[in-house]
Amino acid sequence: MKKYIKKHLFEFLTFIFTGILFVFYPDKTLAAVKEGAILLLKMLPMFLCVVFFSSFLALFLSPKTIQKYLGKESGFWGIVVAAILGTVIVGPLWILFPLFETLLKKGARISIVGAMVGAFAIKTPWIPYAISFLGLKFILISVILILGYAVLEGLLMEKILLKVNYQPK
Amino acid sequence: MDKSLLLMLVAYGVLVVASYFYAFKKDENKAKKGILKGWKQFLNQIPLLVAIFLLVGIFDKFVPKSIVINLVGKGKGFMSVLRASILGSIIMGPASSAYPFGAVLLNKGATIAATAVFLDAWVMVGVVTFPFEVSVFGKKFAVIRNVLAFVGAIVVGIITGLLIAGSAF
Repeated sequence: MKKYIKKHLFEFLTFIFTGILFVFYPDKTLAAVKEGAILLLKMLPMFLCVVFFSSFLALFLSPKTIQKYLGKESGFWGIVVAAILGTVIVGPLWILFPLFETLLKKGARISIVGAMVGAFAIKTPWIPYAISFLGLKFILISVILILGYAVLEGLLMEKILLKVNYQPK
Repeated sequence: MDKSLLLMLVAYGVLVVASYFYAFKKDENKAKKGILKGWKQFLNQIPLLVAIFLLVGIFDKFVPKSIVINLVGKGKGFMSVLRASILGSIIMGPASSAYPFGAVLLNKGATIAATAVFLDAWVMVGVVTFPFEVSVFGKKFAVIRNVLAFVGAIVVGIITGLLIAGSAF
């Protein structure tokens, strides 16, 4: 039980917070809970699609598979490909740090790793979910711009890091 | 439910089913593992999802529009974007929670640019995970990556605002 609370501390605090709010503003809080519940129920089918598609990608297109695709292709288009591949990897960014570090140690160009990390802001399985909240135009433009910036970010990172004599740890 | 939204959901569902058809044909065990993994992830994330949507509902009912407009609304200049990027950098959490918050911010009068900056910084800049990033990549890499990601969030957000709303601030 203690472990469970620790793992879901944020959720518990939120529920306690909601409870306190309810004591002071019962009507408003009830309306807020109702709104949250409706929104959640609306999103649930989409969310199910996301988790199942994510787990499919994770198993059939693992970062290790992606590593293979990167190969020695390290020209400008290699960086673009890396950025696009970066969008398919799912999960929080920091979980993948060790993998990217391995890539660097194995001799991948910094720009390749930089572009992949940069493109991570786009999560392909999440795109329909994001559109349902913010609209097609907003998400489409964001995706294109983030991809473009990811390539630029990779190139810039490489330039700067080589200048300061960066060595993978 | 919105018709286009429903259409997208159906399309996404078909994609998920198709990908698992492929998975079962290719490697049945792996496909089963994928379904189990997806289901587990779903159960794992449900408490967080409930909490997040609760907070979105509370935010919507309790935070007055004027506060949001004052901080990240139209006519507040570059500071609105800067505030959004700092806020996004500090907050961490899965993308599933970022988008509903982005939507509620927009509804409350935040500019397109500020919302885009907030979302991008949320996913890309990790203040809380920074020490971990340093321990994996070293200081130079982590500092340069986060700075570039921070700048990138602002640049991408401003361009998104210019393209959609015709103005960034």
